[in-house]
This record gives sequence, C-alpha cells and structure tokens, in this order.
Amino acid sequence: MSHGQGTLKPSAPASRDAGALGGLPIELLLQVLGHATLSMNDIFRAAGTCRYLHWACQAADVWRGLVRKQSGLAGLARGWRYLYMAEHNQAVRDLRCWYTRVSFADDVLGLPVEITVNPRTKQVDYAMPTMAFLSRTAYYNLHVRVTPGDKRTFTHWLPLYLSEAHFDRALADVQRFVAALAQPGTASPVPRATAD
Amino acid sequence: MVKLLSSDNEKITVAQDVAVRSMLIKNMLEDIGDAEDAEIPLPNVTARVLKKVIEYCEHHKNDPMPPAEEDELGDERRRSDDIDEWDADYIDVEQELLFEIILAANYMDIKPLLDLGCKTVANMIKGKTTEEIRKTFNITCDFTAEEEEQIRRENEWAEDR
Repeated sequence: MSHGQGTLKPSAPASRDAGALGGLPIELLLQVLGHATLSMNDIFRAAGTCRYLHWACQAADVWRGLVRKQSGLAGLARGWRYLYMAEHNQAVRDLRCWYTRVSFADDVLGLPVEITVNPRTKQVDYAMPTMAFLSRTAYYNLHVRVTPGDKRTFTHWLPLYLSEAHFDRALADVQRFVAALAQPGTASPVPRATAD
Repeated sequence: MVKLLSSDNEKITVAQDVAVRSMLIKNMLEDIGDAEDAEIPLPNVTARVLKKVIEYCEHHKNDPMPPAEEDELGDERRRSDDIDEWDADYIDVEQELLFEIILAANYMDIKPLLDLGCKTVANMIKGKTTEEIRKTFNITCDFTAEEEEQIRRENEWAEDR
C-alpha cells in the first residue's frame, strides 16, 4: 500500500470507528487479516473501510500471508530463508513472459505447445512444449505463434501451476487446453474476449 | 475434576482432560500440583462464554495437542479453508458472542479455537465490498475526502490484479 503524499499516517489511529474489529487486540486483528483465506483485494477493501483498518492492513503480518499465497514455488514449506534465497537469485523475478516481459504475478504464464494430429485417427499424435514462458495476453491478444530462438510455430498454449493464486487465474485456460487436446479437430481454442 | 470460577462468580466444574485443552489452565494445574479443590479464577471470561468454550473443549478433548511453537509447517497446515461440520455449527453464533469466544480462546490459550474464530471472521470479510465490510462489523468511515481519493487510487492499482 503506498505511503504517497496522502495524509494517512503510518501511526496507529484510534480504533473506535472500526466497530467489532476495533475491539480485537491488534495481534488478533492481524491474525484475522493475515489469514490465508483472504486475497489481496479483500485486504484492499478492508483497508478502505476506516483509518484504523487502513493502518492495520499495512502490517507485515498481513502481507506475509499474501506473499505465501502468491509465491507458489512449493518451497515455501521450506521456510522464509528459502524464499529469500529464491528471490535473491531472481528465481521469482525471472518468471516472466519472453514476449511481453510481464511477470507471473500480473498475467497468466504458460508454455507454447505444438500439437500434431494423426491424419488417419484424428487423434493427437504428440504434444511438444517449448520451454519458454508465454503470457496469456501474448497468446490470445497479441496472437504470438512463433517460439523465440528456433522460430518454430505452435498452435496451443498450456498455462502452468506456478502458485496457488496464479493457478486460480489459469484454471479456465487449463480446462480449455485439455478440451482442445480431446478434440484436436477444432483449431486453436477460442479465447475469451479480453484478458482479465 | 477441575473447578473454574467465571468473572461473574459462577463455579463450573469440568473434567481434567477437557480443562487442559486450555494451556492457561494446564499450566496453572501444573503450578498448583495436586491441590484437589483448588479453584481456578478466570477473571476475563463470563460464565456464558466459558460454557461455550468448554463445549468446544469437550468435543475436541481427544484431538492431538497442537505443537507449542508454531512453525512454518504448522502455519502451512492452518491455511486450509475448510472448517469441519461440527466446528462450523459450533461457531455459527451471533457476532458479539463470536468475538467474546475469540478473546476467551486467546486469554485461555486454546490455539485451535482461536484459529477457528479468526478464520470465521476472515470468512466474514472475504469477497465483500468495502461498504459490505463496514456494515457487517459496524465500522464508521472516518476518512476525509482527500483520504478517500488516496484509497481509491490504491484500490485502482489492486482491483485489476
């Protein structure tokens, strides 16, 4: 949350306007706000209710839950040190679309997949992924269909599981991909109108 | 049996294996040793809330004890959104009592009950608009017009993510 030039101060405002939530000791309020069930948008909306909650929502404890959710990397179970090392070594930052350079946190990333259909059986003969991250926007909106490097053309795009939050956003596209594999006769799957 | 004394001076007797779900009581019992009819005062908990808390401890008396120190893995296990049916039914109470249960669980150091309470409140926030959250918890908007504008800008950044 930005600290900007606004008048909202980082020091604790009075809790009297925060209703029932203001009645909780701060450590319990942070336990509620930091609960993994809440998304970033839930936190932003809670922060918009009154000064006290706005202040509370900036606490590290709240964002710790969100970092955990956002940064899949399975390695989170291995602790904060692991996450720090991953970030430090740019393992997280390098999860970007080669075409738009957008990060996995801001779009859905997947792999280009070239699918060959057997002309006799009309079934998929083989599906060959290229190991380069491509964003949903690049595939559906910018219609990128050639891989970087060896410039092979591809037809399909398979979104990946990178984190829980990322997968939530990717699920509809994963289903579309699987449906396309089952019915290879249909050309490249129909995109939703815009990236959301 | 363990005798508890609520803040409103009601004596409530519970079985030892139920009472020790509260780390506060467990530690107190260890401190006073075998003093059979010692009474444990709980000056922060009313009888009404205490009975409700005991109901939870009764039901969960055979659960494995949670680890004393919360580690990252413990945290990880706690993330699960699902609340089992009995717990969901148990915690489906008016908001005032819900918050009193949370405070009592915190004071009496009953971690799983505290988690259940916090999770329930988090679920009451989840997916609601700012206005709905205000209404749910009786929050008064005390932002100035300028601050409202600042918040709107912050949210603009967030909403399309």
